[in-house]
Amino acid sequence: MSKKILLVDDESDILKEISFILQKKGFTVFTGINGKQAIELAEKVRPDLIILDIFMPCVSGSEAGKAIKQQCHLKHIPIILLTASIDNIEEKRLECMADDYVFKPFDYQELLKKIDKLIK
Amino acid sequence: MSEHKYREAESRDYFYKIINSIPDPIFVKDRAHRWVLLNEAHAQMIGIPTEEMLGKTDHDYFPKEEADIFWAKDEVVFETGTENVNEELWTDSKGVVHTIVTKKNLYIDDKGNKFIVGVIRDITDLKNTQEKLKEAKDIQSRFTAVVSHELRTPLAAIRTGVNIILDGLSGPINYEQRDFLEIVKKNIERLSRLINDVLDFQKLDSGKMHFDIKPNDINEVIEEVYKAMHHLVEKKYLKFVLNLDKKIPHFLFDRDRFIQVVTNLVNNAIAFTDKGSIAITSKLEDKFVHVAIKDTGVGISEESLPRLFNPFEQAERQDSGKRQGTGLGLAICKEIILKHKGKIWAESKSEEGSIFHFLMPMEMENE
Repeated sequence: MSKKILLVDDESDILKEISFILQKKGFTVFTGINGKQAIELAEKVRPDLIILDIFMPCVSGSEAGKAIKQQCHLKHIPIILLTASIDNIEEKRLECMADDYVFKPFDYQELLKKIDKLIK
Repeated sequence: MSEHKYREAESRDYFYKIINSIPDPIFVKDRAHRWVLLNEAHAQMIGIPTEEMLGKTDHDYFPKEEADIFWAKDEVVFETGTENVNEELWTDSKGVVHTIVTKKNLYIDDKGNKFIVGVIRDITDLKNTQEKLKEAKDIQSRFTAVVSHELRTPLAAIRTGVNIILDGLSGPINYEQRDFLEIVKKNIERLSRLINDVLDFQKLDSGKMHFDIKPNDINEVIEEVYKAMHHLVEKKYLKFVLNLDKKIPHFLFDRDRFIQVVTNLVNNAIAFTDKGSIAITSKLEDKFVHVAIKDTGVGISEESLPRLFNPFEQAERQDSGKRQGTGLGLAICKEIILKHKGKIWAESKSEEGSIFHFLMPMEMENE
């Protein structure tokens, strides 16, 4: 059975592109456009990995990541943060207990390597 | 009037003329904190005639809380003889608050009487300018951060889209399509580098760059850059040589920032060299580590050398048409080396090549 990835970003173009790549690589992809949806979908879909953009409306990616990691039955799910802001990224990663991060504009191969490492 | 008295009066007159022509306010206070001498600049600043103030103290003219501070500070000078220079707030007769700096000295006359001799400087305008400059820098810093964030996001979409097509994920493309998409890709990389450089430079310039200073091995850093860039040097059929001094011990520096410096200098060497070699040497020289990156490239003209490390300088020395950098690379290198209390410079002869040197102190923690 293919692995499930939850991808959340408020940028619809990036959402479309990364979904396309992940599907080509054989993953089943679920998408959301804000932190609130990230929390709901994490609960509903129970993905094998979550990719979260940090800056999103309503609930931010880091808040959503923190909320997910605080739940006993979800905290094992690895999270990769996406961000276009390179300031204090390590601080933000620790704050929401994410496993890794990727800077925009990223090379998707780099993202795939990080995904492989976290869900092998 | 006797000759002696005449000369004394003349000399006193001369003395007052001199101190009244000094543009900064000057005062002398006796041990009871009473003004015993004031110049005209002082009267102008305070707005009260000198004759009226002589024999009085700060408490006769200024708000109590200000006068208490002046009094206490003067007392320190009377007791310790040490000059204390610091900024003070002073409210003038119109209620306007000024920032002043007073430089004081203890003077003891032949009979052992103590006096304070002081010079006041009103730095209110300077302070206001500094505040405005700081505000402007903060706005610039926020602006750069927001702009770079807003540029990165669309760039991410463009880069990923192009890579999807180039990598054939969306189906095969022909040779010509690939050729043009490679141009798009190359320019996306260039734009990304520019955004990163602008942000790095802005952070260094505003002192907001975080440095992770730890004991590190400089040779290991150079070897890492060598490994990462070897293929780029070979692609141009150049020799890549390392001459490392194995006696250099670990010393304190930010590893990632140094990789950035060496990578930048090697990148430049590759860009400006079409035949010959690129060599990196490291050497322990007394309490310093000397690193040099030497190439056999086009060199830099004598006129350009002094301006080389200025930001955006490259635009002016773009003579070969090959350069695709941001013009911030060397300015960033310089800032990083300066933050490590080091020194960076270049020597070059047109058409013979260039050598970029940097010198790093081994004991930065003691400074």
